[in-house]
Amino acid sequence: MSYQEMPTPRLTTQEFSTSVLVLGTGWTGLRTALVLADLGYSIVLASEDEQIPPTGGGSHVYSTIPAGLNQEMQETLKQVRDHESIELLPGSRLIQVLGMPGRFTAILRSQGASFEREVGSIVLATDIAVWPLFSGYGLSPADNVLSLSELEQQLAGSGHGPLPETVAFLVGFAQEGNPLTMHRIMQSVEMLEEKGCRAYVYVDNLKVAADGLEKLYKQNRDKGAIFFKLRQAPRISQADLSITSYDPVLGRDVELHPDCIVVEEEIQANRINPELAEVLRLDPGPWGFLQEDNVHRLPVQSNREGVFIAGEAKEPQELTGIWADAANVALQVRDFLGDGEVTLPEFTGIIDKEKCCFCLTCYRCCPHGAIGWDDKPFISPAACQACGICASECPQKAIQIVEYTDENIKLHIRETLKDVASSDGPTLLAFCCQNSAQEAWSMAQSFGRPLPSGLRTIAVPCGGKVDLDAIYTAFLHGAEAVAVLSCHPDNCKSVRGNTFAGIRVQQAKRILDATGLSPERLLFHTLASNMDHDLSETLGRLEQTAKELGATPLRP
Amino acid sequence: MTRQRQSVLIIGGGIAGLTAASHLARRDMDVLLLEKDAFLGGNAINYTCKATEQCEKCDACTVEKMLKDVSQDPRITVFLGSELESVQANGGFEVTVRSRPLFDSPEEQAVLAKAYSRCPVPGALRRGSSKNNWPLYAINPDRLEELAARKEECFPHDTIDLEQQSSTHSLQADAILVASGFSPFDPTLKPTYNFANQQNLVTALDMELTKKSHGRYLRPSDQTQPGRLAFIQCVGSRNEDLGNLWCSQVCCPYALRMAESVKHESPEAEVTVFYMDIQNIGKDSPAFYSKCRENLRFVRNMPVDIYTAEDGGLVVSYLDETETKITHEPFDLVVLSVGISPNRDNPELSRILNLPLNGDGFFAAGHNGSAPHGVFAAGTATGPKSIAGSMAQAGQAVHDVLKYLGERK
Repeated sequence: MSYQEMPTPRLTTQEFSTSVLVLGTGWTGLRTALVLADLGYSIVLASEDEQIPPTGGGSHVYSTIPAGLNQEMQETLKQVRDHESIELLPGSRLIQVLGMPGRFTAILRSQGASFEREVGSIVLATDIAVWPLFSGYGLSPADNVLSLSELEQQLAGSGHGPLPETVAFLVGFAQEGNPLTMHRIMQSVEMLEEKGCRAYVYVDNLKVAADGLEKLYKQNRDKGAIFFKLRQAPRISQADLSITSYDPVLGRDVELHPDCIVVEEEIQANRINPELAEVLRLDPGPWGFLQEDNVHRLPVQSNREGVFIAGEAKEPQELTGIWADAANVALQVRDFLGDGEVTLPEFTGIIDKEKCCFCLTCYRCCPHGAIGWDDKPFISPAACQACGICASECPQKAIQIVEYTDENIKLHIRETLKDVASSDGPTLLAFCCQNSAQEAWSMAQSFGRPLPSGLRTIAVPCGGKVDLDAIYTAFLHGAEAVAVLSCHPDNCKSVRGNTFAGIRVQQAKRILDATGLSPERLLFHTLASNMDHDLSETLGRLEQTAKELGATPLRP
Repeated sequence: MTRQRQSVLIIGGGIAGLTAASHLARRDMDVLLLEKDAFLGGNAINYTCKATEQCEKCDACTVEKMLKDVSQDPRITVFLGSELESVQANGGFEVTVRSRPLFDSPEEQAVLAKAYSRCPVPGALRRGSSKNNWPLYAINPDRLEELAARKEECFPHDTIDLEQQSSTHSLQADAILVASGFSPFDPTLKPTYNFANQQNLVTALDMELTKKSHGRYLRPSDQTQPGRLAFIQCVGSRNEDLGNLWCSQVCCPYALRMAESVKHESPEAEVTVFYMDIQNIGKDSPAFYSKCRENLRFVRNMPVDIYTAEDGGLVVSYLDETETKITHEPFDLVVLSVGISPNRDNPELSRILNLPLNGDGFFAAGHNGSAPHGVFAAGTATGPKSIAGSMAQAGQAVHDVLKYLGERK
């Protein structure tokens, strides 16, 4: 088939599974499963944990919650257990996912046996774990040196012995910390003070960036709690249980001998997250959490269509955030699966089976997990986001993307540059990623920012679609400078499209150099959609460079 | 399906309102989007990109994207320069809206565009912060009279009718979502800072607007890039005297990103941050904070006083934590990290909608059960929130609205 004749894809109706696999049975998983089940989806709720909600994990982080929510939590738990559309699979681990979004086959393993579930969408809702930071303070667990969780158990009446009369909390020196931990400490302080005990809190940055915490901080102090806000950890001795800190107002050391020291805990991502990221081909986020730190993923999306990340799987957050994420997952699943009848283009790109040598470069470079294979690789229209990275990376040139076929791009470049001979200033061609540079260019025009008189632009779906051929074609047809404008690192909707674009520009510069054309004529630059000034200045500098270098021998 | 399309009225076209509008339109609802200002985008559309060598996750570009989506969606009807006049519950809601003239014909826009850069009445003509704002030019209603009085001067050789009257619309909605946003804290409420009379004392929002129009952070007095800057955190937040017992949650993130962005723009700039407690600034907070500690100076103290020196610079006085004495330190520019205050319109909106406010003056969101049936709230109307947090809460509110309207998958 000749690609100039690539047909326009028709819209087709596809049957998607209306089952959803929710992984994790902490509060995120429970809540998400219930919200989706109430919408009519069949839920497979699976977790490695045997207990629901898991007791060993971080679920007790939410032991301190507003009354209204507490009731909702208990109802959520009860309804999940009773819901006829929720299949509960405790003690099950996801080991493999086959198929494509809309029709995944999830292979799970429980007690040595594997089994399958067909699902349309997958929600990662793994819960968190807490880890006491004793060693961060040179302490060892003891009867009078407790973790925050241990104190909470004692306050809840399930611990041993009477409450200590004076309690000192250590927080924020062994880790950066977060409001969730601060909330737990303040809640414990509140209970201690109410029971007639005395609380001291040694803290570096008091993390109060959550609803109600500043008020709780004031309440704590009004009840008699004392906060020592220090910039470095106090000196702590476990032998005589003392804490010494310098008081700048008194100008001397202040020593405290509490009955008990309570050590902060670190909130950790679920240990299983890296394994899940690998099984699902996700680009995970920092600190073992599952959502890539990329604005295109807000609020619950991942780099893959139909795979969503919520609540504690995303980052440590308050229950209100978890509840919000569950609702957002519901919106996204509805958009993606609907009632199971989904309208999709019959293809977003075509892989020429004659040319394909099955090297699977496409499979490896696709940031959206959209390439599958049977006898030869194929592109799933349900998963593809049409960035075109695969087409530009394919060593056999076997892949063509709708609207951006190689021939179409070349035709477009020739068309755009056809009147080069008649333009007065140097001719610049900018390949603009539609997510950033194309928007910035349009903004620069709206606001009358200066732009080179000989500037032409070509919008591309992603910087990663600009390949060497396109760059050479631009020079061959008279461009005196070429810019490849892409999104900032960490801001690429297709994760690494900007990296591919940058690498290709480096390659092209070497070739330009070898052919005697100055590599300075080719520019790679990253920017955001709202950077009209930057675009204007950057292209202005490139125009200046082109002027200084003069016309290329290729200019008609 | 033959069911008549349902309609939802959204009050406020900031990031929460835009996000909700986009979701509802996708669910095939008719969306009526009411915005008091002449432009959509709320506070956040004025924020500039804070990227250094890489994206720093300020989320400003998501607001552009959302505005673009909404402005191109035929299922969303936008009422700019419009305020809620009355709401009558009748199963659904009968809503009266008052809209001021927008001067949005192509001819009027051309006249305003021409006059924009040379208008003799300061602040009378405004331009949207985004290319996706349409109309792009607007007249500030507070300056309309002055503008009319100097009409010949402002619009020589052009005709524009400045005496157009506002109009009212009667609308029918099945549900209402309040996403009316916040008001930035007014720094004149901290009298020792003498904000109104010091040219080089600015708010972070002023910094954003300068960068938006000039592409650089400049100090107002001489339009130069400042060499010595200070950021003062918690201005209007965490302040018992003002009755503001809340952390605004966004100021550490925005100020530190802005400070890093200043350093990226002019690496030789010296930046000091006065603070009480540094809050987390995103998913990779520890890494970002350690980068900040390498190239910014942190002083854990809230300045008591700011005054202008003879050379036009500012002097910040603060109590030195360790030496218990007052230090007077000169800066070229001082940026106040003003916090999130309840929108000044909240009491009036609360009255019209019969939707209660909490003790701080924000709308109570979720889990309160006291909202009238069919009225929902999201975004900073309900309390301090980041762009990401506002988007998530807007999604949650849409989920609740859909549930209320009886929609299933």
